[in-house]
Amino acid sequence: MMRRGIAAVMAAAALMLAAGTAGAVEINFLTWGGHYLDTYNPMVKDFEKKTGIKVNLVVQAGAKDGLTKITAQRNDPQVDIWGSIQSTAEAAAAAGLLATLKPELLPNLKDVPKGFVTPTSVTVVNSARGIIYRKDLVPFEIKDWKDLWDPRLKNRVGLSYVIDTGSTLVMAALVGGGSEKDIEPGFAKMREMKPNIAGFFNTDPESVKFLENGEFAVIGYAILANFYLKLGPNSNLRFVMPDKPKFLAGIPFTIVKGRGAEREAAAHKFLDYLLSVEAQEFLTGRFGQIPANAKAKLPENLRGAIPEPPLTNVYDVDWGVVNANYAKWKERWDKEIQSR
Amino acid sequence: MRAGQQSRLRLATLIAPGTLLVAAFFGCLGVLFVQSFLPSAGMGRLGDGFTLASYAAFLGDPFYVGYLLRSIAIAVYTTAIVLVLGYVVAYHMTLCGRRMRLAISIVLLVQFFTSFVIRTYAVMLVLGRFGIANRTLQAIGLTDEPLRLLFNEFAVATGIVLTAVPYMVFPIYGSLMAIEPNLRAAAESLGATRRRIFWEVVFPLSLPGVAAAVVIVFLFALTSYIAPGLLGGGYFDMIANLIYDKAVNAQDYPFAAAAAVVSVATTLVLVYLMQKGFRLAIRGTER
Repeated sequence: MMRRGIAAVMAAAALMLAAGTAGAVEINFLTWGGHYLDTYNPMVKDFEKKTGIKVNLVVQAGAKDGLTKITAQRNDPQVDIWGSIQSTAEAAAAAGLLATLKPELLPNLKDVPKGFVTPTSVTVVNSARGIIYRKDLVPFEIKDWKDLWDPRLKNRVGLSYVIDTGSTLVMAALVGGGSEKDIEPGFAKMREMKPNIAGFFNTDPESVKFLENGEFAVIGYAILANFYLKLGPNSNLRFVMPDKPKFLAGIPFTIVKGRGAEREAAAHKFLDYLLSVEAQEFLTGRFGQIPANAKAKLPENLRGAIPEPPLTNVYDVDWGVVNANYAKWKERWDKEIQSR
Repeated sequence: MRAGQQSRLRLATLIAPGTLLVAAFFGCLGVLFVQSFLPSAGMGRLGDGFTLASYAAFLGDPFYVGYLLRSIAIAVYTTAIVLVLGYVVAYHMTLCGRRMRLAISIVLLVQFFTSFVIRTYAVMLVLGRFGIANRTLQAIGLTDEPLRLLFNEFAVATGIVLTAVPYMVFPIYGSLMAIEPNLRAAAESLGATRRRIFWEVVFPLSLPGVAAAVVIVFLFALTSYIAPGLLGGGYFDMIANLIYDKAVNAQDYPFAAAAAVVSVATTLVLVYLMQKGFRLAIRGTER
């Protein structure tokens, strides 16, 4: 009798649950953790209130980690929308992991420059890259990439190969007169920089932590978004976006293939929400980024941190070349640069 | 339902979750094993056919084998250090009063409730450029400027030692507590010194606990990922860091799988040898 009673209650609960969830679409949004989660949390709540679509935030340790996740889930995708960087978005597209975007489901796309759109991705924001340093630990004002080789920075520079898919090496190659298509000058310059290198980091939070606790006085290739809210007149941090070349990373958002029409439509809706003026201004205000939507205003505090847009001398990295050589270069980097 | 059927059903219900876990574990290892023999097609893609290329690339390059050898070396000596520290703490816990024992247990147990990353960051606060160690050295005039205590082997070893101590203490403490107190009293009444009682009675009888703790700590140290990742500063990565890097950053799954298979095989051999050695030692003390 008792058992029958429990079974009846469970059946009723299951029915209620089924009724409650019927029609409610849930999508999974793969993005970075920490500060990014804090920023996206209120946005997904706002989006859910407006559309009834629930967005679950899923954390990636880095864009490469995100790529690994969606690659591993190829046969049973668990992610609907993915915020990434250009190199990994291109790699995912080449691997056939991404859905083709449907412009008719993205009304806000009309305000986004054509150059920010590919068949499988939309650049939602543009993120400045440069050098960030502790004013109290660096005896001179850093202005240029070449300053990273200054002997006064002996044992003070923190670097990463993996952040932005080898962009540090590409930067060094450009400083040395080469490029990603002629990488030898990059390795030669990096070998020259070795006395200045204090250590290496693999994730964005590590770069923030090591700069804050003084292990590194300089982050040689830094992402402004990670430090933006820590900058200001009273801050001991200074960000500089060196010219020749400027590195400005588009942050592409993509929709993962194979999640079904309903979820794909919901993912488009969320992507369109991210491209709206309101969302763009909120996002870029938190990260110090340049909005992709031409109608959105530039964050007020960004003036001074980076040169006035539209930016010139922005280097257009050939990610196809970088992706094709990334593993080979990484092996060399480990052997020649990341060793004492 | 008959009683025999019922008991078989109950047994099957009890065994099923464990069996599923073990099956999932070995299933994953099986996938890893198979992938290690597949050719890499680049960018996370796997080719068709059978190849030993990943094993050749890993075992044929002293740079990569160096990760494994370095990991074994650091695991061996950090386990030895942790054994000494852990044994001293465990032994003290058996001799001290109830309150002190409780206090030590709480200090050690708190570590289990704290994230490993946080504990490793705590080591950074001690060894960092502006950490407690450097400030103390400068305050007492031993150094003029901060020493580089982080981002080297010393930092990684310190991180492993400090985070591994609880894993050593509790198994040893358990085996020390299981020793019949009368045995010490008997040895004492026969005129044995405290040192002799320890080395000829207490230590041999605690060996089963030591053996278990040493294996746990050795595996903990050998597979360390966070300590070398955060405290090594990229200059002292261990085998787990290499495997992660190859799988996630380089997206070379066959190489990562081959490195993992070699590591697992090496670990199995080392643990087997350790257990054999402990078994001989325990048998020797029983004579």
